[in-house]
Amino acid sequence: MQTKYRKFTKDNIKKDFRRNKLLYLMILPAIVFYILFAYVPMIGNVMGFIDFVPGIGFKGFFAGDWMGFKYLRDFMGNIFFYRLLRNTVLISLYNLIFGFPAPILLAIFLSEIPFKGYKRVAQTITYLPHFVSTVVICGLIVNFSLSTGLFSDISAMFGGPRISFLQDAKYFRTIYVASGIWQSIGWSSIIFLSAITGIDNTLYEAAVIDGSNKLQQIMHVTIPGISSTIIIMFILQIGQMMNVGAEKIMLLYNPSIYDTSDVISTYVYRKGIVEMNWSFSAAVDLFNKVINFILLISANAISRRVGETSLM
Amino acid sequence: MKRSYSRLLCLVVAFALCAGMWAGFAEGVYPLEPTVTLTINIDETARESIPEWALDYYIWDIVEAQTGVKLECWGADGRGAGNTEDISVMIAGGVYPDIFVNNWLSYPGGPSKALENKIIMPLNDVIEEYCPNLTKVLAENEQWAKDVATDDGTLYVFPMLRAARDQTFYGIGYRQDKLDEFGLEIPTTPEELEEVLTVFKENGMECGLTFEYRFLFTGDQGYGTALQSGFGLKSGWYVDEGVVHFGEYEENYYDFLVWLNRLYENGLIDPDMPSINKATSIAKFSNGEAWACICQSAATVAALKYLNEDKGWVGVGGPSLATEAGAVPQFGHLQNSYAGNASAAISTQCQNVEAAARFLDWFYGEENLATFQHGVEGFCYAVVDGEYTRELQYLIPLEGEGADNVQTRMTYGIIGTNWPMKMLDGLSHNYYQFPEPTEVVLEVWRDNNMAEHILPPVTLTADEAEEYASIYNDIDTYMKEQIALFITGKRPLSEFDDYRATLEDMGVQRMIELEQAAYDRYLER
Repeated sequence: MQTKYRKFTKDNIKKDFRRNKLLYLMILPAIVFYILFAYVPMIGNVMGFIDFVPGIGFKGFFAGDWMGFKYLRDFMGNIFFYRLLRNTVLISLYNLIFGFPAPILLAIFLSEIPFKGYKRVAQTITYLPHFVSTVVICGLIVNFSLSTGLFSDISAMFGGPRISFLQDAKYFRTIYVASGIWQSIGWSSIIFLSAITGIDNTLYEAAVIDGSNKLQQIMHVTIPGISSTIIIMFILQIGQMMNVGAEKIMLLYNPSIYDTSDVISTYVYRKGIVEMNWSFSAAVDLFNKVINFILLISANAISRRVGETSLM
Repeated sequence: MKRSYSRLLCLVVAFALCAGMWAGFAEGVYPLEPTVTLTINIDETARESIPEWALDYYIWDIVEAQTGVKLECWGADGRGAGNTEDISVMIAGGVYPDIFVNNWLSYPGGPSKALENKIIMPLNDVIEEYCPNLTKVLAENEQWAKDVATDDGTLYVFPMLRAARDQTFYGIGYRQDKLDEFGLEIPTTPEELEEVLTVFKENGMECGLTFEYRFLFTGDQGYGTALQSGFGLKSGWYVDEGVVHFGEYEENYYDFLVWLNRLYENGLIDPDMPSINKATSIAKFSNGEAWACICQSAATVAALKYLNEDKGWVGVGGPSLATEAGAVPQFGHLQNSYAGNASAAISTQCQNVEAAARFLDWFYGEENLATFQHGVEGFCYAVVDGEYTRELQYLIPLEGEGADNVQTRMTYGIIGTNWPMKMLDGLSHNYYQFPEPTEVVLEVWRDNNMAEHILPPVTLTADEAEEYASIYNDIDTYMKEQIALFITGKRPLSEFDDYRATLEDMGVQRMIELEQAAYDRYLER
């Protein structure tokens, strides 16, 4: 074990640095990555408050007029504001409610399977979709959802109607969330599986001796055993909450279902990249990020108070 | 055998080069000395992937040899509809190629704003000094001279100018064999079309009239105008006796929606229409699922007969619909001769403006037209009895994969239809696999009064354009969504007045006012 330093004195830091040179070296690329790709671009947020002038590089940030909160006010007064906010929050919420527990359940099921071979095959099959490009997956979904597609075929087989699913606003969220689960369930379950393997086997033995059945073992041994992992993953998930991925939605939606499918990130994309309204879209995106930040911090604070597990 | 051909070929190329040099010496300009390298945002085939048999005829090599300009291609191709995402990113990024190809009319804020933002440079002096060919082209055609400048007469672009015959390329296609089978005429009004589709449907057509949803809007050039014409309007901007109209705000757009909604409810148009793209809709027409289609290309309609001879399928072009039988259809697909796309500006970061201007001007020279629009004689065309032909038997035989396909040869041998130039009349005609039948279809599609109603390429001032853009973009999103809901019946048509009221709240009238003012200014140019 290493000595714990009480104070951040210059001397102590130096000593620590000398002792753990290699560790510091190993983390260096990660630090550089975050500085370059997470912190430096933050300067760009200034764009949301100025009238950005293209064509003069970095100077463009200083050439335009200072607009203050004009773009943010424009956004809040926009007729699409309420809808975008609602869709973003609802899709994330559904993702959280249905998408978050799914890999945990899968991990528990997998861990209870006694046949090793079957378990491996099942695991591989479930995490395979993770490696398929979103473009391909969305292409499949779009084709399956046509009135002549697979879903309609299945529906027709049982005497149901043929529906063009991606043209009806009411199906969009279901399609989005369900396909999201299918895509990520196997991959996300890996971390829970490894947490389950870490649980001491004697606990299960003790539970069996106490006469508990499988379900009781899961409820009282497995879940408490991985609860800290669940909470950490949950906090991280909350931090992603407003980050509904624009790519997947853009590949799936069409104007007739904007009512449930248009979210802040797709709007930012259309405004900024397609319509070249850079400053406005930067302001909207910043708005999104601020909400995200607040959510992450509060989830972390609540969890620290209540469950004693937190990120920081 | 092969050897002797390549020798012949060398001779041909050498001759072409000599001819080119002679033309250059005559003017004392081309090829430029010393050789210049210019950057440009087009996406050309990487040299490594050009098959060996095509190397000697590769058009960009020939252009390079004749102009003395070597192009360094950057990708982010601006020759399509313009303002694609990659170009938008490039503009924001602030590093531009010497020659910036884009649709500058659709730059937010218009060409005036692009000039004001110092992305591209005003070209009046440059063109006057270095560009005799373009000057001549513009001097000969008053319309073009008017179209390619801003209101204050600033030239900003080397335009792509379409010849009259190439301005129309979208329309309705039907299955002639099915029309004949059920004793139907080619429909000319909405009622007749509905009737035809009803009969089709009763006799086993799997999916109705198929098209991509965005065809209904002008932002995408109004490919579906052939339908709207039946209600005396077209989508987006048009002019009627000097007054500018916006189709989606017109009162009788309601009738169009009622009609289209009825068709949708009765399964007469493709139920997947809002979510399919044009490739899917064309595929449905080509594989027999749909018997009527709004087609992106007359060639698709014409080709049906030749590709399905065993099945007896025949495609036929249908005219724009008229408001009543016997009347002349007022609208149809028609692109302005200068529509803004595939036009090249010189960026403010260009180091060698003279070379860029001289290079671009080369493409407007009468004597150079044939070189890059037809390629090397014998490679993708031949002249037989004074007529152009693309039949393989008259061409130089070459060996290698794809060499026996004229279409493939053309991808290497000519520049294509999207390039800043004055197109030869009927140029695209030469690109069709079956030119004659395709021309017949196009004849039908052109047969309307659209020329009187088309809004010319007007330009707004930078301030106006900003206001216009902020109104237009929101309206665009709103109306595309609502119209989809009206057509599919998810929003009752009784709410059409609410829809119009919302458009008014969003500033549609101000937008029309701006466009009218721009049009009036255009007329005064």
